Amino acid sequence: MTDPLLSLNNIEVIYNRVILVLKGLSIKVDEGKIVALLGANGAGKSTTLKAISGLLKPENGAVTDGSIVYKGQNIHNSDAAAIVRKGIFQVMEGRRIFEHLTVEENLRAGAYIQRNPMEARRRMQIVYEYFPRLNERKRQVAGFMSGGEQQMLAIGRALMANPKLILLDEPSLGLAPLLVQEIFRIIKRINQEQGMTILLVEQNANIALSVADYAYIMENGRVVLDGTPQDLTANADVREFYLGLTDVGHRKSYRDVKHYKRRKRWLS
Amino acid sequence: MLNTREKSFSLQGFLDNLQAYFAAKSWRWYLTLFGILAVMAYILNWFVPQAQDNPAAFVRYTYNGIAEGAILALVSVGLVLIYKATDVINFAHGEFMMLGAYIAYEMLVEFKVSFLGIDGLGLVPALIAAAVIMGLLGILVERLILRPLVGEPVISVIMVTIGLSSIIHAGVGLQWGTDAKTWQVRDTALADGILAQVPEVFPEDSEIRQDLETGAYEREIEGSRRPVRFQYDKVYIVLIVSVVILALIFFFKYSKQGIAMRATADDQQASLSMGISVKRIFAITWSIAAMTAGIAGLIVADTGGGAKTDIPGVGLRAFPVIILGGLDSIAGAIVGGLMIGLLEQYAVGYIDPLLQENFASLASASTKNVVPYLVLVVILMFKPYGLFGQKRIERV
Repeated sequence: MTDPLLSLNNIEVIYNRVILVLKGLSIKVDEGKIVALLGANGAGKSTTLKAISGLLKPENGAVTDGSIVYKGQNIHNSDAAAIVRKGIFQVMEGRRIFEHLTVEENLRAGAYIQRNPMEARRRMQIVYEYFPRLNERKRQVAGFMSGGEQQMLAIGRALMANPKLILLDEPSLGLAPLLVQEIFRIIKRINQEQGMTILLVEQNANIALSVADYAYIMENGRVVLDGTPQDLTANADVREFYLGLTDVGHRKSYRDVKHYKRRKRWLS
Repeated sequence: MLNTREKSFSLQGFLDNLQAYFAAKSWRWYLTLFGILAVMAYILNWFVPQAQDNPAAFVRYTYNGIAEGAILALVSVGLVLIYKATDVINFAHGEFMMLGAYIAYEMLVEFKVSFLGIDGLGLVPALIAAAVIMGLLGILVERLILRPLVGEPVISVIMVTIGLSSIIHAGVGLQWGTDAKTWQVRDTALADGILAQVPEVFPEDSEIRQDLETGAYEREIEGSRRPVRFQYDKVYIVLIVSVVILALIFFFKYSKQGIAMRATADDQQASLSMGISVKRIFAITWSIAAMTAGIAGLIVADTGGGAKTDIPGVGLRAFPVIILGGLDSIAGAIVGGLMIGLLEQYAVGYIDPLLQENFASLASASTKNVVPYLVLVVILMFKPYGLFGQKRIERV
């Protein structure tokens, strides 16, 4: 077996020197795969992504234990700009596009690490192929676009940097279900056609499991379950707590719904 | 009738409507604001007795106002850049201007730089030298003084800029003393060259002469109670400022670093996430701001009696400009600068003589420094964030 593209080994993240958010988290991301990171609010999913991309420092967070290894190199001490240059690009939660810049300027900002302007122009064409809507609106001020278009722009910005690994933080946030499906179709295409590895954080477990090759479920700063989407969807706990599926046609009795007992096992 | 809407006049409603009207209009609207201003002044021209004798005076006040305004705009752009990128108001900006003026003095008088063999054009290499040295100084200031303060409260950074202004002031006093350092630059051939470019808007009996005291070229109209004086040097002020501002616009619109600077002003963390080095962006910001301040200082010194230690006062005049234009808008700095420049000149031209002749106690009244603030107060009542400022949503 080859080494994974990225592996987090028992990392611990502390905010403000007191708040322990990740408590010995380990995940592996294989090259060319889509790996999903699922979990409830506050489980530490976004913190995990920020720990990888070096964006913890501005928030007063720090990796205090464990190691983050990317292509055989330890990267948890590098700063954000160096990590982007190594080929890891984070699409932040809530899109975070530059509202006062036009679509094209947003994309050019995404290509900041590209030294060759011709290469940047070529990548812009690739982005427009995936998102024709952005091409139509390239002179528009980005802040006035719809949420879906802004999400496309945020992913497009990542494509501009031509990264090896894209960290996607909740691409479905605040979007209509049809649009979510479209975005995820494109994410899958980018993964297959551009060969970019994707680490995906999602609340919408259903859609995330439909595109992912492997998934981790986090709770309270730890991984509690992991496996292929097939394994996870077969798991009774996942079905009930994350996918909202129960046996149809049966009336639920109070005795059957002893979530708390099953949940407890995860928390330990 | 079905329409029972109340027709009574409410002041609050009127103000709200007016504010909505202001907010909905683009920058074109503000250009027409200048038009209104100009028409107003032209009407003044016919009603103020002093002005009736020479209608061309209005052209002069506008011309002087644009030249003054251009300098203010250039100073303000630097302040706005720093505020936009780092949330800091740079109180040492006037001192940066002063340094630019002294660098020009060193170049012109001590090193005797020249360009194409014409004396007057020595200003060109002096200007380039001032811009380059000030640009480097801006980087140095950011590196040594402001970078260690990243993460500290904005107010402490502002206090540090005040301290920096004192240090520069004292340093300049040590090096150059407190006497004005003047230089004589333009020769007659050059002034005539500029004269040829200025359209003839004056009566034919006017006469071109050089004011021996200030070295400025003027045109005096005989027979009028107040001579119309045009300082032809001021053409080059507008020229230099236009070139600098156009260069800045191109930089921010098309260059990679310029786009990255605007991106950083928009969302610092997001720009970090795409590999933009925010430290480098801050350094570039301070460098450009110091550069524009240096150029402005050179112009002020060249048109106002040389390099001297009261140049920072001009920097202070930029504060009403950036508040008027909106603290975080470059377009606002330009429009605000021109507006305040024009207002000052119209006050000198029309309001001062009226007060001086009609009220004995106001024989030496000067409203130049008052009128801009009066207008500022009125505009801030309708637009609290300035003409172009971004409204910040703050929840309490």
